[in-house]
Amino acid sequence: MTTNRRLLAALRSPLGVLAVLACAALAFLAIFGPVLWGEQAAATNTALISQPPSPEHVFGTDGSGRDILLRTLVAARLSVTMALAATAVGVVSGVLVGLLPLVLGGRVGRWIVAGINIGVAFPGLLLAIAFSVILGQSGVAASLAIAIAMMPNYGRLTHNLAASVWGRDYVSAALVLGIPKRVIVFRHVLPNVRDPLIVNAAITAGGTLVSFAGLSFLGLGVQVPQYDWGRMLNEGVARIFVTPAAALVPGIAIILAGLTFVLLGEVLGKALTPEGTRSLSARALRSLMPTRRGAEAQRHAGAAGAVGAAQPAVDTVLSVRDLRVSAPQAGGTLKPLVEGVSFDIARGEIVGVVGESGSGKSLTLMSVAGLVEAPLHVSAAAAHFDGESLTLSEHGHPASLNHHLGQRLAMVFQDPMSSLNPAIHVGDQVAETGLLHLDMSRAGAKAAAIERLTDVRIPDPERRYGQYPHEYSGGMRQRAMIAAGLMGTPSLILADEPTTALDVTVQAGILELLKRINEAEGTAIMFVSHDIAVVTSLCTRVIVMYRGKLVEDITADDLRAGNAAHPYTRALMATVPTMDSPRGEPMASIPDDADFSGTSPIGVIEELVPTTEAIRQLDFEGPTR
Amino acid sequence: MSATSADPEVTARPVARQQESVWARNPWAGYLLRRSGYFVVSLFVLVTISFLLVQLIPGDPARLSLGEAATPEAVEARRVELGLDRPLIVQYLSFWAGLFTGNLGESISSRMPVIDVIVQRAPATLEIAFAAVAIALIVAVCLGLAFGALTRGGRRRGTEVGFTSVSAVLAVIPEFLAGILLVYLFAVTLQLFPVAGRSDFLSYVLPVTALALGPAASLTRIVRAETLTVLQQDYVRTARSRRMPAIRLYGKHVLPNLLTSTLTISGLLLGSMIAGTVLVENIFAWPGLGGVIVQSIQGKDYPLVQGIIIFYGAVVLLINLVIDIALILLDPRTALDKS
Amino acid sequence: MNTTLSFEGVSITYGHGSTAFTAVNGVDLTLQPGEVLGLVGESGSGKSTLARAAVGLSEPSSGRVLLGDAEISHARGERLRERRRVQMIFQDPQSCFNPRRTIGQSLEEALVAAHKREGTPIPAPRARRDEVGHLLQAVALPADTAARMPAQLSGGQRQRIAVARAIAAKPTVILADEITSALDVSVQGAVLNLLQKLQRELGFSMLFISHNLAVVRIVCDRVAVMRKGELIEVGDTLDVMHSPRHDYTRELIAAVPTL
Repeated sequence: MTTNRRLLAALRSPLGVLAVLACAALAFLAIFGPVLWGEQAAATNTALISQPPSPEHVFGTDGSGRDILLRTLVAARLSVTMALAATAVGVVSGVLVGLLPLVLGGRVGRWIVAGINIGVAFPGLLLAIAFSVILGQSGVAASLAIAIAMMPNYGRLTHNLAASVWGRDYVSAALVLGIPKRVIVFRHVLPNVRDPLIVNAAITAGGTLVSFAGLSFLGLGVQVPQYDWGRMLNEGVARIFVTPAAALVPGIAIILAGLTFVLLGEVLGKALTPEGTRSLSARALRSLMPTRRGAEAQRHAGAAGAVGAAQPAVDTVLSVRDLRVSAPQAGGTLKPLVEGVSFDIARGEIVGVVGESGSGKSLTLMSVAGLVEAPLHVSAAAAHFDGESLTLSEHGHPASLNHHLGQRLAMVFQDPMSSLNPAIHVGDQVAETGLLHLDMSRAGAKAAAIERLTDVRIPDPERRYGQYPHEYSGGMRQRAMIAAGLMGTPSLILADEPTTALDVTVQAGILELLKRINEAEGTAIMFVSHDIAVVTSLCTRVIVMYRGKLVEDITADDLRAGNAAHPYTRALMATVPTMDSPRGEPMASIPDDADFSGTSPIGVIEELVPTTEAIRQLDFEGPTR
Repeated sequence: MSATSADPEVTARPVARQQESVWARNPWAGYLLRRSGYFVVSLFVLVTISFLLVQLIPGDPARLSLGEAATPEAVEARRVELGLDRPLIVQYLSFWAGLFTGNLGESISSRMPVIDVIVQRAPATLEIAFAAVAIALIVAVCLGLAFGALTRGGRRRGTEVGFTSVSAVLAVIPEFLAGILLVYLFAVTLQLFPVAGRSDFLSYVLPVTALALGPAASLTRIVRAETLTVLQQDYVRTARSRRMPAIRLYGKHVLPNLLTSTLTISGLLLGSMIAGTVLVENIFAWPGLGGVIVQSIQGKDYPLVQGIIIFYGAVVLLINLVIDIALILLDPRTALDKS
Repeated sequence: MNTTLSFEGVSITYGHGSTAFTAVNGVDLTLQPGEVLGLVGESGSGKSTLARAAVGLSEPSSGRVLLGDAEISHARGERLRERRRVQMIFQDPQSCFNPRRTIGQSLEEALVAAHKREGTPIPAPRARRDEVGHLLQAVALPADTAARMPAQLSGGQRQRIAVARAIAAKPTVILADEITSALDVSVQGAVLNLLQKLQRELGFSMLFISHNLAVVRIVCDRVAVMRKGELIEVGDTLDVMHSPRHDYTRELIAAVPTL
C-alpha cells in the first residue's frame, strides 16, 4: 500500500475520524472562539460571583462573576497557538541542529552531538523555567522558552534517526559518487526520517501545550489581563473549595487538547509505518476452522485405519506428516508458507534441509520444535518424536512433554550472539536444562555443564563458565549452544543454519563437532542450511524444499553423484560454485522468472549474458592503458 | 606485476601500539572514567548557564529587580551587591569560588544565605521526588511486563486496546492537573487526605501520586513495548526451546534484559519528574524548593534562582549518573558497547 | 594515464587512546589496470575497511592510497574528483538503494554525478532516461524497471542494478564488497557473470572482496589474503589455491566444504 492510501485508510478508521473531528473542533475554537465569545467572557459581574452551574452559566461563574465555560472556550486560542508556535520553532531548530553534525562532520560535528547530549540530560520544564528568567514572564516568552528547551530533545531524535540512515549503503554510494553532503541530507536522509519526525512532532505538540499551561499555571507564562487555560487554573485552584469548576473545566480542556494531539500522532504513526503481521480477526479464524477440522479428522482416520501414518517404526526418531504453516494477510486470507511437508528421520541419521530464503525450511524445523507462535498458524496431520505423539500448533508443545523434550531434543540456532542471553553467564545457560529437567542440584548442574563445555572443546571451561556471551567468540558461542543441548541425552539435534554466521575455518570446526557427536552418541541431527556444499559434506540424507513444498528427499551420496531427480534440485546443484568449477566460463544461475512448482517443471538453467550492443551504447571511454 | 605480488611473503609491520594503561585493560574502569568525565562537563555547563542567566537578561538586572521607581543610588548599590560592577570574568571566577566554598550568595528578599534556603527546603522536594520515582519504576515494570506478556504477538486485542487507551490518557495528564483532580476528588469531595502541606504520612499520598501517575503510565507503555521487543529476541526463543515454566522465562530471561533498555529510556522521564516537583509543590503548598523558585523568579531574586537551578540540575545529572552505573552493573555489555 | 590503484602502507585505526582498535595494519597492495584481484579473509580481517579507504568512507591513519600517481586518500578538491573514478558496490541489497526513490532516479543521480566530474554538459532529461535504459539493458533488465521502487525488486535484481549504478559513474576501478553474500546461490551466478562480462568489455579493474573462496577462484586473476588487519599473502589465484605459502591460507582452503 502506498503512503497516501494508508493515510486515507487510517483517517477513515474510528480512531482517525475521532482525531480529525477533535482537530477540527480545536481549530474552530482557536480561530473563532475569541471572535464569538470574547466580550462576554471578559465581562465581570459582581452580582454573579462564584455561582454554581445554572442554565445561563453551564459551569457556573468564577471569582469575578465571569462565565467559566465561555472563558475556557476563548482561552483555547492562546493555549493552542502558543503551543503550536513553540512546537514549530522547537521542531525546526531541533531538526537543523540534529542534521548539522552529519553535514559538517569531524570535530565540529562531534561537539554539536556532545552539546545535544548535555542539553537532553536536563528536563525540558527545568530548562524552560531557567530561560523564562532571561526572557521574562509573558506568553510569548514562555512559548520561546519551551521551544528552546525542546530543541535538544528533538535534535537528538533527528540525529539518531539520521545517523542510522547515514550508515545505509545508499548514502555510502552517494558519497562515493561525490554527491555533496548537504544534497545527500536533503535527498537521501530527510525523506527517510520524515515519517517518525512528523509523528513525534504531533505528540510533542500535545506535550508542549501541557508544558505551556504548566508555565502559565506557575505564573511564569501568560499574564493578566490575557488568559490561557494555565492562567485560569492558576486563578481557579486557590478557590477549589468554593468553585471547583473554575479549576476543573480548564484542566479538562488541557487534557482533551493534549489528547487530541496524541491521538493525531497515533493515527499518523499507524498510517506512516508499514503494518506488521497482525493476528487473525475472529472471522478469518472461523474461516480457517474447516481446514483445521479436516486435518484433525484426517489424523483420527489415520490412527483408526492403522495405515502407515500410525505409530512410526522404532528406529524413527522424528516423523512428520502433512505439516502446514500459514501467515495471515490483509483481507483475512492465509498465505501458505509450508505446504504439506512429510518426512521421517531415523535414529543416528544426519538429515540436511536445503532451500533458498523463503522456502520454508526454517519454519519446518521451528514447527517441529514448537517454537512457531501466533500470528502464524501451524498444523500437521501427525507428528511423532522419540516415542511421543506431538500435536504441532502455534501454541507450542504441552507442558506435560517439557521434561521429555527438554532431555531428548536439543536445538542450535543461526546467530550464536543473539541466541545466548546477554545478561546471563554462559555456564548458567548451559546448566539450565540440568536444573529444569534432570533434577540436578545447582552444584551438580554446574559440574555437568563444565563437563559438557569440555566435551565441546571450550578451553578453560571453569573460567569460561562464569563469562558472559560477549566475552566469547562466535565459534565458542555456538559450541556453548551445542553443550547446552548435550546436557540431557538428546536423540535429535535441531540445527537451524548453525554455521551461517561463522567464518569458514570456524564453520569447519563446528561441523566436525556435530559429526563427532553423531558418531559417538548416535544422535540424529536435522540440519537446516542454505549452503548445499555444507549440507552434502555433513549429511547422510538431504531434503530439498522449494516455495514451501518438499520437492526431493535424496541420499547425500546420490546427490553428490548427480542423481537428483527433481529439476529444481538439479538446477540448484548446478549453481553452486566449487573449487573445481571451470574458470573463465559463465556461472549457472536460475533466472528470476523460473518456476519449478508445477508438476512438469518449467524453469531452466540460464546463462545470463547481456547484449554486447547495450554495453556499446553506454558511451564508455574506459581507462586508458 | 606490482611490488607486493613479487614478494608474496608480506611481512608484518611493527605497529606503534597504544600504551596499555589500567583503563585500557579494564573496560569497566575506562567506562566509569569517561562517564564521570561527562558528568563533570555537564556540571560545568550547568553552572555556566546558571551564571549566564543573569548576564543574558536584557536590560539591567539590578534595575529590574528593584523596579522602575528605584533611585539611581539604590540601583548602584544593588549592582554592587549582585557583583555586576565587576568584570565578567571576575564575576564568573568568584561564582565558581563561591560554589566550592558553599557560598551561593544571599537571597535578596529574605537576606538568608542561598545555601541555607536550599539545605532547609531540599529534603521536602527530594522526599516526594524519590518516592514518586521509585513508585513509578516499580509499577511500570510490573504492569508493563504483565501487559507485554499478555498481549504478545497480537494476542488479546481487547486488552491491548484497553491498555493502550487508558495508559495514553493517563500519560497525557500532567502532574499539575493530576494534582488538582486528586485534590478535588480525595481532599475536597471525599476528604480522605489533607489538601495541602507536609505533615503525616497521609499528606504525602496525593503529591506523590500526582507526581508519579503520568510518568508511571508512560513508562508502563515503554516497558510493554520493550517486553514485546525482548520477547522477539533469539535468546528468548532459545530459552523457550529449553521448555521452562513461564515464571522462570519472564523472571530470569526476559526481566534482566528489559531492565537495561527500560532504565536507559527512563533516565529522561525521571529527570522530568524532578522538574515536575516544581508544579506539584505549588499545588500542595509543599514546603520544598518548588514554591521558592517561582517566587524568586517573579521577585527577581537572582542569587536564589541561580542556586536552586544549579541544585535541580545537579540532582538530575546525578540521577543520570546513577542510572548509567546501574546499567553496567545489570548488563556488562553496555560498558563495552559504549567504549 | 596510469590507472593503477595502490595502497601504500595503509593503516586504519578506529577510536583513540585506550579504546583504539587497528582494523588495517600497514597494507601494501596494488591493483593493476584491468585485472580482477580477489581479497579474502574472515570477518573482521579488515578487507572491507581497506577498500573503503580507497573511496573515502574510511580515512587511513597512516599510509596513502594512490590512483595512478595521484593520492586519493585524504583527498580535497581536484584529487577528490579523481577519487570518483573508483566506485564501490555494497553487500546488502536491502539498503543499497534509497527506498523512497525510483530505480531511474537513483541511476540518474549516478549519471549526472559522472557528467559533473567529467565536466561534460548534463544531458536533457530525455537523453538521461535513454542512458538509464541502456544501463538497465546492460544488466539484463527491462527498461521499465526504471519506474520501479527498490522494494518491488528481488535481491538479485537490486544487486544487478547496483552494478549498473557503479558503471554509470564510468569508473576505472570497481570495489565489489561481498556483493553476493546476502543473495541465494541460485541468483549469485547471474550477478557475477554480468560483472565479469562488463569488466572484460569495459576494461575497468576490480577489487573483488569475498569470503567465498570458490567464487574468488572463478572470478579473480590474482588473490590477496588478509588476516587480523594484515596482508599475509598475494599471488596468482591458481598458485595460491594450489600451493598456499601461508599456514592460514592453507587452513582457509582446507575449510571450504566440497559438494
